Amino acid sequence: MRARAAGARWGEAAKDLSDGVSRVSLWSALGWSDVRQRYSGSLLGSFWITANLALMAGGLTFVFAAPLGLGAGRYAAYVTVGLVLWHFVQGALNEASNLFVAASETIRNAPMPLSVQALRLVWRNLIVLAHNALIVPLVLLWAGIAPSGLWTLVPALLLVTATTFCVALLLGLLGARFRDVPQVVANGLQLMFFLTPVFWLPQTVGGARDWFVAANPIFAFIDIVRAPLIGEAPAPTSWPVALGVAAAAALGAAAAFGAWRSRIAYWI
Amino acid sequence: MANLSLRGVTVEFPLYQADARSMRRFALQGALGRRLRTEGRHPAVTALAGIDLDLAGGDRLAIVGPNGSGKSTLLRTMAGVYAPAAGTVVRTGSLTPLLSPGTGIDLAATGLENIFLIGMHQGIMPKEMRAFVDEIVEWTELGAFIGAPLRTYSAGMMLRLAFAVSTAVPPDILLMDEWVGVADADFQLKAYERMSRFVERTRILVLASHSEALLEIWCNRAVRLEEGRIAASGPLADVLEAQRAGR
Repeated sequence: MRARAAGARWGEAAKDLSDGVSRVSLWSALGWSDVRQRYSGSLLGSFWITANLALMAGGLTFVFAAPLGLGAGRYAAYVTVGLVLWHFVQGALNEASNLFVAASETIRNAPMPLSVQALRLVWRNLIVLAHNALIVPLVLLWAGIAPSGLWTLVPALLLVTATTFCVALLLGLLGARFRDVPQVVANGLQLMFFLTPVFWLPQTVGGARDWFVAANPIFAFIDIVRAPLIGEAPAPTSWPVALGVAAAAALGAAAAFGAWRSRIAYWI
Repeated sequence: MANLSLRGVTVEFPLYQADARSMRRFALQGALGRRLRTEGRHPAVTALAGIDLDLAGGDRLAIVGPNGSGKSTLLRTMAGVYAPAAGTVVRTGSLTPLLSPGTGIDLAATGLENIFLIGMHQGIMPKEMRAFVDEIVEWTELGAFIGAPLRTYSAGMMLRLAFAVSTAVPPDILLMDEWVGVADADFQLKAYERMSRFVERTRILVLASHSEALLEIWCNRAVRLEEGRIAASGPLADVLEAQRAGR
């Protein structure tokens, strides 16, 4: 390993990425198969998750709409979109830290680019996101809220997708080498749910906490998708923070995947 | 064109999770055909050491050796799963590794969907697989079950399907870990016929097995591994004879 030229390793990693991306039928079929397997046999199937999100949004609206000084409609729209997006973030990051370990059977026995595993993760989480997002128009209609600047959803969702892919590679690598990473990620996410404006409003904290909210990458990504949907403008910091985090994730993933791709099979 | 060439290939497994000190203590006692390297920051198992091999069209290589001698690791290194710590693996031609039955099987999906899923795990894209679907369905004799989810299948039916898919599209290079010998006698004869047709159409076969009878059917040359090194190499009959004599 040490004897092999760094150039060769980077070339192999780049080839893995381009081969992986070009095998659309492979990762899309595997992603669908994952979703189907997860819900097979249950009556409501994937609607369980959507129903759960709707119930949670209802409960949070019941408790928090009045004390936060928002009408039930505005708060319901805010919290529903927030929860749907949070579910995506949580699912994607938790699965990311287990990416290569969970696919160890495939990696050891089937010849396919390792990047396929990350693409498959992104794809199945986007499917679940699209599915859960079905409740969003219903809530918006009920609340009488008109979206604004919907076109910004296109770059926002593209950025979310690209960043998820990079983070999946990065966390997947770390999680394969250091088996504590999945635990750290799971615990960190639990804490982040309360530290991120999903069910509370960013402008209600004030003081030194403002910069914490602005610098929170999860908030930045949620904000750039949520704000146009509920007819608001994202916080001025959100796009710059999201773009910065995306760039950092891309660099980190490229460096890690370039350096350690060939070690993954040994770690899992 | 099909070629498979290994030059000075060494493969080491790092043991990150292991207790290095207890590993060192027990290292003196030796370990079932494997070499432990206990110096360095992490102890490591040397699974393959300095393997040189050249395979070309028509070669039918048997890999023999005791448990833990590196047979499966050698197959996986040929398949590109393990990047060698030293040495090079050069390969031309398409490759199918049949290392574990049912890699890619989805119990919630139908038999038909699984034909494509299993195929994709062997590097066969759906477009290519489509031409073989009818033949696979007919051979498995699954009938209407092909439209039912795989969790309704018996173990034998699943094996039939996995086997039929795996042996539908002949690659240039076929790597096999012994896994065909697990079914009723009736299926074995049928499987044997299919296997023959499949193997005949591949250019290079590498088969790891403990069964001399199986190897004598399929292979013409052999290497014997011991502690990750090639202990003997040559025509199959010679290698097997030397192995018997050594016992």
